Amino acid sequence: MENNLSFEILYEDGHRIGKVSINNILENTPFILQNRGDYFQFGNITIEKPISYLVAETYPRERYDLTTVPLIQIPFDIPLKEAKRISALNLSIIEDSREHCLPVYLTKYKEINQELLDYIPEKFIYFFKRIPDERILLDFFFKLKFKYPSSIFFIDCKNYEIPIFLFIGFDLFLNEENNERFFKEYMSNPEPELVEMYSNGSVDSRRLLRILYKEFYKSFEPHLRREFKRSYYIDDISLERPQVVRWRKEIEEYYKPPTNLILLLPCSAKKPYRNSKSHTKIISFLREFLKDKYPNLSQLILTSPLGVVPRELEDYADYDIPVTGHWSQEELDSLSQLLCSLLYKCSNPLIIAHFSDNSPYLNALKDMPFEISYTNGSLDELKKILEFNRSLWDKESISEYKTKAQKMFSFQFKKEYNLPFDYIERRKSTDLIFNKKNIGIFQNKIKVNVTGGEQIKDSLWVNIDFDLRGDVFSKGVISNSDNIRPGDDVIIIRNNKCVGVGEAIVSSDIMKKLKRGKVVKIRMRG
Amino acid sequence: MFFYNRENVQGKEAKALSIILPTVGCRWRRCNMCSYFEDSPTDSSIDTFSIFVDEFNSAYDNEIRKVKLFTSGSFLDPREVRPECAKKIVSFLSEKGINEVTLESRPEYVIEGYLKELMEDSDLQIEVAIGLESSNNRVLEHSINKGFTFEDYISSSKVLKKLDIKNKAYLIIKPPFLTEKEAIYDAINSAKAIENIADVISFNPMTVHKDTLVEYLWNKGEYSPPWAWSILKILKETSNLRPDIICHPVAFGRSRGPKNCKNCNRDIEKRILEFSLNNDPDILDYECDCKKEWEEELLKF
Repeated sequence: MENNLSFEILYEDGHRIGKVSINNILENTPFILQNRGDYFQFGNITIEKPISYLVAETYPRERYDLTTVPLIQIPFDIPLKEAKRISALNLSIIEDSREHCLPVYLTKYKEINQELLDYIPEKFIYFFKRIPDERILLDFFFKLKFKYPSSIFFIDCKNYEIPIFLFIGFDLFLNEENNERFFKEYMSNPEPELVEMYSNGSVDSRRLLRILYKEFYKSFEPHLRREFKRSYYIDDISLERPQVVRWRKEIEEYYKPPTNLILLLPCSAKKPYRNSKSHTKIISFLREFLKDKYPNLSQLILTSPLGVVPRELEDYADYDIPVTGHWSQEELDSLSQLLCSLLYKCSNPLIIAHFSDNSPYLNALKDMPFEISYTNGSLDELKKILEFNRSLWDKESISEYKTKAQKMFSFQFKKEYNLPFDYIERRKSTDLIFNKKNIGIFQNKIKVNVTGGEQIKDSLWVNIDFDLRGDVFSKGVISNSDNIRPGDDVIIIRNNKCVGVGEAIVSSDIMKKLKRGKVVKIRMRG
Repeated sequence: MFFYNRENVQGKEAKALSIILPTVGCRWRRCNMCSYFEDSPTDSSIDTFSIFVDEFNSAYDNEIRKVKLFTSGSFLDPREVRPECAKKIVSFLSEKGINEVTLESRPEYVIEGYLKELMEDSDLQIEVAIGLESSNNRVLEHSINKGFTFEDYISSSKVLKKLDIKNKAYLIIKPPFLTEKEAIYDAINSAKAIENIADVISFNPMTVHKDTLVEYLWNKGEYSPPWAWSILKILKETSNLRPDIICHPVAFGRSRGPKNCKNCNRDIEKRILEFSLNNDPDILDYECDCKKEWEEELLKF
């Protein structure tokens, strides 16, 4: 392929926003192509439509900006013998091909698709069809996108599936029927709840989303931002949303209750919970009763679909759900599972559940392998239990804000920290402190400065070996930690020293592989 | 089995008789769309000639000028129709005053010596119909699995020309693995490629036969027979070519055959048959609401 052809990813959150450059013509993705008979119109770029190898020899093929390899279109469902024969021929055509784009014809036979994946060369655009088997389609797509992240992916699909395929990471679609409306609707508000809504359009689209959520978490999740902004969990399928599953996994992995006196609380509609009426009431009661020993009580807020939100991390959880008091078994199960694994981290925990008599939460606690004291929602009862177990809290107190800072760093930077961080809410900002030095601020998430970066340089890092002057491009990355998601705060290190901090543009698994473009937007240099 | 139709016989519209002869059927039997051979009797000892005579006698009337013999294979394959039988049939027709006979054959059985022998002592005009399907070797090999090449067809055509035998070519409309648009292109392109070789070009829009690859794909929703609009377009664009252009679609308007919509199927079929008699392209001008759907189909890839 010529060198004057490039694709750069500018943003990803499931869907990708990118910039294409061909002979100095620039176009943005995602994009809706116009179908013009023998070619596609991609803004000012023309792309040859896939034409069958069978007629390509004599067919009057015009010269377009981007050419396409002529293959035999293998039907998805075709007898194995035929599939093998045509596929072998296609592979030999692909091997000698010099065209820019390639149609991807998948069949129902795993071994044939695998062979194609093994031999498929890097092309600028891959044309996918919406085959009836979502597993095969998603499996091939994610593997191919992982192999060639600087390529562009087209799919010909039904209009109501466009939001889903955008979310999955496809870049090009076709302008037919009212495809453009669905495309625009998603792009103007690219949120998972919209995708979930559209997936209700048909049996096929719901199956597509469900299989994506249930079976492709590992391939898909790395491309989703960990953005702590308001989310809506409307549909039952939200329970399986990768962002939700990730929250549960990461709480389980990176959070440990600071003490073994645990208070379980119901969630509230208002976020953060501490500003709600119900939580204000309980917090002021606890502060009054426990006085300076208040931090010795760990508070876990139970909710759906996130499961458990620890008090220290409540600023990361902003969401809304339709509250009805009815919980599905799946919701109850995933909640108790997460809660159990957190409680197992404490030695001999004393667990107090503060829920009213007929609260649906009680169903989640029913079968837990722990002894739980119930207050039935009564503060008097809570007081009695605390009084009775005075020895568990009436001792030297841990620091409330230091604990909060530690837990937040551990959660956000995916590493357990026991460093003496501190958290101070000032008039205009919330500051993070280490040894009396300011190491960053909290603004929806922790944004460290270079001093802070030095303390946590073994967390989410990108290693470079050049004098950092601007942003970091893919070509400049020597290595990077493997748990970076787009949007994450990352530490730039050079010779084991933090030289800058910034925000990742793409996920860790493609940072080095991209052929072009920025991978970290630098916020501060050391 | 026999049936009649009207067609152009040596420049004049006339009644033609078609007779299906029971033979062991085609020796190749590997084309992706064909299962005609499945109807062939397995008993190779049957007396083809006497069956032919019986059929002819019960079907004959004195309007008939042309006879077409179908064997679900190759009449010229000596294993299918034994040479003495073939010769007797030709002489018989000649004696009955028939002007023209059409025989079908794969090109490998078009052999000069054998044809000369058949034509001895008869002034019957022979027409050999070859199922070329496409002039494109890639289509022949990969889409149809025809087992011969365009070059094989050309060699056979030279033999026919030398012996003054009329050359009729069957071209397929929409073999598997092609889009509607590619299929139209290939049919027109094939007709142009044989403009100066064939005397008659007969377009055969695909019908879905039992137990074929095409049927497998059709059952899975991976193939559909051509639109009638495609046939009209192909006929229109080839109407000015030198050979006579004909098209007698099978299972037209049925689920397994070529079709448009319920509103226009009948009209269009009539027009196609009428066009086959006079090659007047104006007959093919037709409009129906379903044309839009076909135009969308042409955009598919």
